[in-house]
Amino acid sequence: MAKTIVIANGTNEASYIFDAFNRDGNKLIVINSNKEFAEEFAKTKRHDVIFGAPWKFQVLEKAGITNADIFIALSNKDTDNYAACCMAENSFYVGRTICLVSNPSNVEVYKSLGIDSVICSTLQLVENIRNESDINGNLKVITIEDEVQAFEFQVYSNYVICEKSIMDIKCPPIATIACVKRFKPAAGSNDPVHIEMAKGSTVLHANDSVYCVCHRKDVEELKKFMTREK
Amino acid sequence: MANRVLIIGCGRLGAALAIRYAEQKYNVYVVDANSDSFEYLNDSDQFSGETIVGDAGDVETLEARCHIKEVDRVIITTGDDCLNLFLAHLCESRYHIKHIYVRLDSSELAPLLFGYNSVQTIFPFNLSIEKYTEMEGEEE
Repeated sequence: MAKTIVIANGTNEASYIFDAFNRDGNKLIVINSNKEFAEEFAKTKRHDVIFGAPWKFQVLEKAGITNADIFIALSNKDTDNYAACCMAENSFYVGRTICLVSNPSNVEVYKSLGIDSVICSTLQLVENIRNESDINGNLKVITIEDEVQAFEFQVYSNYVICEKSIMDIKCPPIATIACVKRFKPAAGSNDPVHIEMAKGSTVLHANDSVYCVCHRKDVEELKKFMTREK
Repeated sequence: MANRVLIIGCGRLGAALAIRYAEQKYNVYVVDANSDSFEYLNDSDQFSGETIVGDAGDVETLEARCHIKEVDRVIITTGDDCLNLFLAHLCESRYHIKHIYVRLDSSELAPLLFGYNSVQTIFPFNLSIEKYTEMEGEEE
């Protein structure tokens, strides 16, 4: 479904986001306080750019962002992005605000003050490094939303849970097993891989990949439980 | 226990208020990103407060070094309106400070402080205009 997306400030990120969403009927509104960038962007992308600071009421009013679906603040100053998101949400009723920050501790702080999504590249880098290190330990972790994590692990034949149904393994109540990826065709299918939604009767076999969702703090406990050896 | 006040931004206004509170025997903490700003405090021999060089936009700095959890009042006077807005929101929502005074150069951000009952806003530009208008009226 086509959306109205506001791209407020930023340089390379703004260009990349513009290219990524400038299709499927989306309406893109670009605001930038860097005059040189705004002029160059308008010329190369053949798209109007509103010049001005996106935390200013008059600039957002001129840009016509009322009821936009998404507002993305991309400047390199965290508090400018915060103020722009507040203005967009409170005075122009945008559906969702996304705020880029450079200080990782601002992720939790800005969310607690009402910003819908706060993105920090440093924090994501740390997350990626952490996930990479877990892969070596037969565990792939994906952060869904801050404290909520999905993790994938492979079942080996020497695990206690192997050849047991989900009902019988008595997974602690800290997690939900979402689905199982099987490297063999489902009944009536030629596809060599299939995903089975987890039910109590689903039996875990060697080489299955199991996907669970849990709180970040419980990942280690869950990992220990799932990878117990016979 | 003596009253404690945190002053964020040590320009002329912040420094003058810091000196005044120190004279009234408050425990005064002043934070500014630029150590040169503390020169303004030398206008008085009476200033006995604590100066902190740091980024007030960083919660860890506020909590670890600026005594934000211990103060009764905060005065936010940096020259950056967006930072001031953020700090005003933060001081009320996160630290529940009862007396928050914030300076804003632009009145455009004022609606974003509606509903923040502990926050009082000062607009130096508007005050100057009002004073000028008042003085002009007196002349006539």
